[in-house]
Amino acid sequence: MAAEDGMAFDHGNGLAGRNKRDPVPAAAGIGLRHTHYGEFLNGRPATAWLEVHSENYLCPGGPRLATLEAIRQHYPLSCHGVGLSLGSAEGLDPGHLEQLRSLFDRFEPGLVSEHVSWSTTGGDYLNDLLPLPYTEEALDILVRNIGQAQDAFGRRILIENPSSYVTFAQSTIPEWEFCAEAARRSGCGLLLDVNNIHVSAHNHGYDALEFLNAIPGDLVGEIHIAGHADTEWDGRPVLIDDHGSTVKEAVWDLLEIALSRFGPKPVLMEWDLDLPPLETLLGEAGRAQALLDRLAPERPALDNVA
Amino acid sequence: MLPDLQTAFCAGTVGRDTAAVAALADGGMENGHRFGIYRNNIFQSLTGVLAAAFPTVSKLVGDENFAVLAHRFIAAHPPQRPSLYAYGGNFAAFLAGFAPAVEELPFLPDLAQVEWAVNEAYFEADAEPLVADHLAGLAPETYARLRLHLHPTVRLIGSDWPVWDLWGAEALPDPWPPGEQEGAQRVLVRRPESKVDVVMLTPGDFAFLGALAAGDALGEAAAAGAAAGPDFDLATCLAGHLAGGTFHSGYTIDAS
Amino acid sequence: MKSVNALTVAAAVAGALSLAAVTSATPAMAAKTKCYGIAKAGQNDCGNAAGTHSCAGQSKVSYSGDDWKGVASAAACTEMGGQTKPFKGMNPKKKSS
Repeated sequence: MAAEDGMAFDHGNGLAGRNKRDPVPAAAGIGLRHTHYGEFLNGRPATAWLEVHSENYLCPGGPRLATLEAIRQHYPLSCHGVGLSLGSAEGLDPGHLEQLRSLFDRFEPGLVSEHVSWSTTGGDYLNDLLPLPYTEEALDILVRNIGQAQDAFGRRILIENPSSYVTFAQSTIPEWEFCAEAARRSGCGLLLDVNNIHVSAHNHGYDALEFLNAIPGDLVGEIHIAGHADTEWDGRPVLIDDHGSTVKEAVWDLLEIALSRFGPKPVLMEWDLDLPPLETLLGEAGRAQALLDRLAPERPALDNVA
Repeated sequence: MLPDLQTAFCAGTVGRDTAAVAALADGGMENGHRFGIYRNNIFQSLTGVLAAAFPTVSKLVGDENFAVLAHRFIAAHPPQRPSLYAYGGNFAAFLAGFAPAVEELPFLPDLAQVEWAVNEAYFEADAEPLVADHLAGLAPETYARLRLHLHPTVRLIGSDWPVWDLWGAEALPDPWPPGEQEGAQRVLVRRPESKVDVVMLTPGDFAFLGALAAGDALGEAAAAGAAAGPDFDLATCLAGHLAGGTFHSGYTIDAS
Repeated sequence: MKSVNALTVAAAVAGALSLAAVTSATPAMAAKTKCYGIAKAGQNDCGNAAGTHSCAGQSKVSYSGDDWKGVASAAACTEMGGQTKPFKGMNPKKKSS
């Protein structure tokens, strides 16, 4: 297969390219998924940067790592974690932290991010971004865990607001304050997912603008956009953050407001379910780029946009 | 408190414990009718992980049956670490203990072992395979003391069933394959470079590589190969595996 | 432990190296080999071995039945030559089409 031909299979280690820890620009990027590896190995699709899910690259070796190594030579990279479970009461898995640290040392991502959620309890990894009650107790745990992660990585991370489907009566802090306060106390930044804001606001009946207005722009290091499903659960309407379609208009509106408020930021188009052709993804990123150009034309020039 | 909430969430999702969900609702979980979204996310995403690691098993039993297998497996053995490339290592053993499936498809656990071996080989650490050129400079008098080591991606699976034929099959075999001695196949899985090979071995070859894996020297392994298969020929076997990348470049020479 | 003698081993190694020298690709040695990723047309070779992580939820409800349906109907189970052959014609693909 053609993808193989473009793959330099090197038993050695280390990144030889020119993009050593190059910053992720305040421009539109897309998530790199294996379905599109071939296009990236055989060409240079026009995207300003790429984001991967860190946990997909924690394997010891094999074609997946070799592929990322090859593609990384040509694009700034963001590593977006989904398995660290920053909200776990039992603390973080030291082995997982160590593996992530090795990944970051090897690929030198410009950005590293995780979620305001939890996935692990009693040693079981539940493979979903599960909701926290927004309490002082949970905030303390989150801040402690973020601190441990930042110490282990030797760098600042960003934390992302999740989509959620249930809430807890014991919550005493609005979600936006919880996220911003965790960032302030731990020294991390925020990855603002405006699709998640829309989904959670709709599901829990709060105003998305209240969320956006409460966020200090200088904490925001990245913005995510994605599609969601407008569906039903148990016979009642709900929005599910499935990353399976183009971005809804209401979310584009939120992105426009966010960029107007916060200035130019890296914007990522995410798609995970039923992946479309790469062009569709690039088209969505292009629309985000047009917004960036209109609202924040002073973005730095990029040498790797074809 | 958060630890209790997280324990109950786990019981209510992977544990499918309705009492735990009721306790969460009593404890203040709002929109509890949506709790099932999380359970669905967990089971469905992990079922997808297993289906990707065991594509032939999934294909042969069909989507609905595979979901039954996967859901039972996930509930009994949720992932213990957040690296899903490593999730499913005990799926073959689980299948062996799931009577409804093995009564109908007795080869299923062995087939799952082959698929897991492919998965492991795919993600295993990269290493340089031994090629003939590596040995070309050796003095012939050291040949007898050569000790070969298997490439770290190598996995060996012996089965009473024709698992090499079954691996990658799109449909159940028809006619039904013979079991036991008649249909037995032995499989070598390896990834010397970027591609995973799934190789059918002769009984002699299989015994030879198994002996090497156990640490035997060439002479002992060759004896094991000859005992298992009368047509075993050490020179042909070595040439084939040198060409295929079955050995690791780090050979050693025993002290004389 | 049983062992082939040293002279035989040395001769076999020499033989293997000379075999490798004359036919570098040794296609004759290429025993029955299948390659991961090639069996499925259109699948990217360096794609998926195990499932991948994502940060998205599932918008479709998964089948959540608990019962193994069986890949063959009971009627198809017939004893033939001492061996149960419940599978004849029970190709799931045919069944679903």
